[in-house]
Amino acid sequence: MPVRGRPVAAVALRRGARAAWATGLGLRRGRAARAKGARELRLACEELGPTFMKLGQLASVRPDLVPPEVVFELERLRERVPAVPLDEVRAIVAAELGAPPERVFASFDPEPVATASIAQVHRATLAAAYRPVVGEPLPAGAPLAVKVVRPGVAEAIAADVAWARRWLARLARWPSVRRWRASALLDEFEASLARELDLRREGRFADRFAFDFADDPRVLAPRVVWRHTTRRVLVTEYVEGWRLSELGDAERAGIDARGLAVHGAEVFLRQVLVHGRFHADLHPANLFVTPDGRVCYLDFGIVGRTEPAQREAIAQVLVALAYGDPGRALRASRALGLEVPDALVPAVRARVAELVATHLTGPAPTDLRGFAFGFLAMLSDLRIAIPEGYGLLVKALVTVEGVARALYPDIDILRTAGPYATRLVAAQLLRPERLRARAPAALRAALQELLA
Amino acid sequence: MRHDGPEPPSAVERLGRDDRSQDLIRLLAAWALVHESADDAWKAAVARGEAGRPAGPAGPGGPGDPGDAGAFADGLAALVAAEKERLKARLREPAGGADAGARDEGAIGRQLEAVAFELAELRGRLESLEASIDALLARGAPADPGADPTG
Repeated sequence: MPVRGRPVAAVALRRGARAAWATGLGLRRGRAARAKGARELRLACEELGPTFMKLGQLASVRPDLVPPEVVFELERLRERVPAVPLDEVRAIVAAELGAPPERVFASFDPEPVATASIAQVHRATLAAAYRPVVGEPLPAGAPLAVKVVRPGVAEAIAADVAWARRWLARLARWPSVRRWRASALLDEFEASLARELDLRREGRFADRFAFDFADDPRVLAPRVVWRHTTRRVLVTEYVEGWRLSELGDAERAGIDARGLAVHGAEVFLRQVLVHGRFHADLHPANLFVTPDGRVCYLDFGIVGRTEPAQREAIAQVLVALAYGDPGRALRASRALGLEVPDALVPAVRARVAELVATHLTGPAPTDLRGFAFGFLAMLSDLRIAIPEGYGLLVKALVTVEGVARALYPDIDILRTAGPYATRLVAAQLLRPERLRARAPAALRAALQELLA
Repeated sequence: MRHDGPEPPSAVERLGRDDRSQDLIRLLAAWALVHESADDAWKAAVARGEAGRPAGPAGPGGPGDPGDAGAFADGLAALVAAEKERLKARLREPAGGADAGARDEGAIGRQLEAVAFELAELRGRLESLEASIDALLARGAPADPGADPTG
């Protein structure tokens, strides 16, 4: 067994044995048993390091590939990675920018402000003024965030993926493992990590995001300093503020928390429904609230995309859910690729109506997470395939609800999003090209009325 | 029921003020302009609307009652007829008129902003490439015997 294989196999066996015990060697079925198995999987990912952490994070946004219990458990993955020694950081900066950080920047803080499985971030100050792609110029002395890819991470990931591929081929003999379509997840994981390891992509999306929201004074994306940015080093302005995950009552009192939460939901909908590109790795640690009450979006490593036809269907689903119309939500879902066999339609419609009544239209604030969990679990129980884009969207909406609640715990996200989605649906229905396509039939009916 | 405040706008008046409804009215006007049967229908509806309009405020159930479905159709026809005349006038103008000019300017402005962004993006990419090339050159440069390779 290769050197890496031994510790991985040890953790997998230990956690697998615990999961087997918790589920009565697989004899106890049901959600509670599956949840216990999912918890062991999450703990195994945390123990196994960067590759498995990223694999777990990727699986946590893919309810189309993994069971809902695993999706919602993997959200809780917490990175516990040690900082990279300063000498190694200096060597990477020197290799990427031709000089060590002390010569590239006016100052460079040897202590990282954040460490993660892929990269770590140091503070620095800009040596000479710089004109960014979007926004006002940055003056000399401006505070910077220098993100540096951890040394050897690409090689470690490649080795772990190769190892995981060998084991998957063996485990694929079990139907329950085959059902997870783990091989597809691994392929996608490799491609996604290759993109994430190139920090220039993240910088380009940050610029695009800033351009898309240039008309919105409450949205902020850090300006990128391209002359110090390469594949393994990303330099942006350093934005002062509080991470949403660290926002205490005192900070919340000084800002319009409800306004920012509502606005945050609208910004997300605008990304999904208007621009067709969205920040797919939103969580409270990736959002800052600035002292002047703006929200700064960070870490554009994972980006989702929506096509125009999908955008329209997504808006229809949202409006249908906001107004408690399960039939319409299911019809619009078909346009997103969700195929419910005819024989199952009555059962699905009844279950969705029940979930809508329980989680979305009752007297209590809507619980999008509860609805999504129940909905995905139902699809999983009925063996109805979940299209990739659909799964990502459901998960992203739940995430937006979580982010908005981190700002303002009492927010009702669906009722907040409802009017915005309704306006978008109305605007889409009244688009001239759409009217031209649909007008002849409507006009014929109108003329018959007029001539009667 | 009557109230002393200003009359609330009727459904047709509200329709005429809304930007998105304007698209629908423009489309109907264009349809009426190019299709004789549709045009006749609008003209008949406008004539019915004018003939049925009372001198004073509309009474409930009367032909001018804002809640009457027939009155709504006639009012809509009037809006379409007016739009059709504006459309005709615009078509007669050599360069499409002032509205078209303003719309064009808005569209050109947005396109210019998009082009400026793409140019700036391109500059960013070039600066990043330049940094990478400088780093490669620095690595390939003859070693300074007194210099630390990382600083």
